[in-house]
Amino acid sequence: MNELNVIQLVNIRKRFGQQWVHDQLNLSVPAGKTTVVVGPSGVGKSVMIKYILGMLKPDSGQVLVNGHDVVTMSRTELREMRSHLGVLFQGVALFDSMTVLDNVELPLREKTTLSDAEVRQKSVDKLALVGISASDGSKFPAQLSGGMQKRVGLARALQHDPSIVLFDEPTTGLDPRTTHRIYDLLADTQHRLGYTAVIVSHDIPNVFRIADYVAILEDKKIQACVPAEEVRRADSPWARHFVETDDGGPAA
Amino acid sequence: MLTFLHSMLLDFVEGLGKRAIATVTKLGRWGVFSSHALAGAVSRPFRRGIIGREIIIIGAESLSIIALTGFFTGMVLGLQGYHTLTKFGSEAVLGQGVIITLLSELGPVMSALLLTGRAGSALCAQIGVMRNSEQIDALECMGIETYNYLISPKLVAGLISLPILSLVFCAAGVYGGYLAGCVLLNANPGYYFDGMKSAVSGDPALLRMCLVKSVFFAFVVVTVCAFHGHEVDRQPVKGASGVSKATTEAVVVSSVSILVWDYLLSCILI
Repeated sequence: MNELNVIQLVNIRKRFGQQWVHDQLNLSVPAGKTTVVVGPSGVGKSVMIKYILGMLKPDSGQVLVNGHDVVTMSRTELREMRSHLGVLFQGVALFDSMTVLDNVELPLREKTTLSDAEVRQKSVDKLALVGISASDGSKFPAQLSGGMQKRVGLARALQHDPSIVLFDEPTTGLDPRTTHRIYDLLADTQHRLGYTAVIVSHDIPNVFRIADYVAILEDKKIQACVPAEEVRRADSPWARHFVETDDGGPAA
Repeated sequence: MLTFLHSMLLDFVEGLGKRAIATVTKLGRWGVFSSHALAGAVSRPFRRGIIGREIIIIGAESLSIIALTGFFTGMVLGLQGYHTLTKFGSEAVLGQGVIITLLSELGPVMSALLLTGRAGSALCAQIGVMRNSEQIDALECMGIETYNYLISPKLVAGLISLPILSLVFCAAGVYGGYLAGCVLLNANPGYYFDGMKSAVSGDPALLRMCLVKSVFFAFVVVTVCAFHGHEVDRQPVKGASGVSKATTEAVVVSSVSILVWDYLLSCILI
């Protein structure tokens, strides 16, 4: 494995029923950078995230996380591997029966031996990092706006200082202004904490501004993985590829 | 015509075969799910706090409905029993009849059926919604053992609660039978309670049957309902409709299983 690539998908093939979702899909994610995977809806971007988390196995191929193949891991190994990952789900997946603070505290209460006071302090700090005040900690997720829920989800994902954070459509359902704020927040936390970020999104071209690399998933495989400057440069072929498309598909 | 009938018959047999395979496969998945839930119950960490909360939701909040149903079931037993036994001049054994029926059958079975309707359906819907909204995925992604955290505490709470609820049902039934048989119909209260005492003390298997059945039914109710919620993403319809369908299936399967297993357990324990 290339030491710089913390995640590698190698020759992945997967089909649901008779339909092939991925065929010879390959992707390498460099450490400490933000890699954005774009593609049309229904092309299997979220499925890729599930491979990395070990929640879905490809029919063939390797999913390497820090050099270890997720496909062949036992349940215990998977739990251990996942404790180094953070995930922000498309629907945030906050526990609706818990308060904001309880949600953010949960990973630490479950996976560490920190005292109650330490857990509380770290949780308040993480909430502050994403711009949520301690006074909002006693609210339930349903009492928060979509943007605030995303922030709390991010605080929870970052709680155990993961080296890799996966974002599944992090701005779905948000208005443009909140979307920009969330992107700023992702870029800021990534810069401060130095984690490897994988973002799957079809929010083109907005998502490009926080990307270091852009991978284009189309026609069952990664067609290209290029530095973000290339898709941001107006005269590049990749920029033209996305011009005036809002679903991540090629320009007509 | 003959070819058409032949083709219809083949389709019927093929459909039957597919359904049988699907049922056996589902049964296998339930077996795996249940064994994980059991393993989660005996593995660390032992979640006293969550189990306590679940006992309140599954057990304590079911107390009033169980007691009320038990009381009226006892009244019916007292009424019917008195009129039937009077025909044979045997109203003195009314107490024995009521307690044997309550402990061996109605207590555990009715409590389990009520638990399915009240707590099992809610449990299935809760897990189904958590599955749909990726909350269970989130737990797994945090490296938290889902069974140990989410399913097993409900199972332990059910295993503790249902035997107690069955006994509450029987106790309420005893006083319901007393009200209908002795207060309203003039059966002898001394015979009524003495008969009960002698039936219970003379046959320890009676109480054992009530408790064994309750424990077994609790296992069935919790695992069947939780399993259907956990598998909500396999439903042909998604979202709220999927949760609704899974909940309906859970209640039906759990109720039928209770009655089937009641007969089998009675054959073994009697």
